[in-house]
Amino acid sequence: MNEDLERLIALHDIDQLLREIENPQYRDLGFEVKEQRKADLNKARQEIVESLPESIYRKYERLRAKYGRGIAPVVGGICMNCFIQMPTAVVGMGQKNQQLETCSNCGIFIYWV
Amino acid sequence: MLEKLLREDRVILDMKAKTKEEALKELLQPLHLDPEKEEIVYDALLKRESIGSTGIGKGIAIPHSRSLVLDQVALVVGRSKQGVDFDALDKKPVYLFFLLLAPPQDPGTLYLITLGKIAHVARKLSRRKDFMDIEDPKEFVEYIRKLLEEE
Repeated sequence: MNEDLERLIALHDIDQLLREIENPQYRDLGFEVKEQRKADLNKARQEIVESLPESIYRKYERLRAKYGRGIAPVVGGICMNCFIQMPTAVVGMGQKNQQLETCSNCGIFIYWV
Repeated sequence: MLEKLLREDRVILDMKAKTKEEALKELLQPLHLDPEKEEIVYDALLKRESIGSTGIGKGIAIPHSRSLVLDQVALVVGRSKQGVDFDALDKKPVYLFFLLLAPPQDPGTLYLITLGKIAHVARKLSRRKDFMDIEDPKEFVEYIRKLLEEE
């Protein structure tokens, strides 16, 4: 897998976790969330950010501001952000996830599941 | 939803793990993820544990995470006869694990509702001991299904 793609996935998973633990419905389930440990999680996030090329991170944040996420999975050839079928030529292409790609419709970074 | 996620091929009745890290890795085995995906999911689970243990006490833990690399919701149930030091809320060993994983695009409520149901069943199980004697995964799944039907 492309290294920057791997970093973006880790960044996405941390962002989703940070969002989820603030969700009142999640809070109601009663799982332990130590407020002071959130700082450690943010530190781990920062380390990933620093390992990414600046242009990629800036694009990730732009996409996140627009769509609520910077990267989306492609399942069955369909981008799970815009739900548009990827072009057949791209779907059939080998070596998926070996380079950083974006959806040809919405522009979000993509990961082929 | 929870009933459908319970599968006998995703039940481990004699976990070998002794630590939290080993337990999370062992619980991922029945999903047969490719190594790259497995490492990413393991990392996401560890990050969730880093902000507070999912060991809810009374011998039960419900590790859970969403990850971009997952394409469906999955549940793995694990039982450890010797117990695992999982840094649980009551600091006691964990004997029963419910690992719940979900993709990011899974509707939020569905994942959280399932998580809530697992927590509910787990609380019921915490008042019982007989599930520790079951040796057949199929029987174990039926045992939990019956608890769900009692709702």
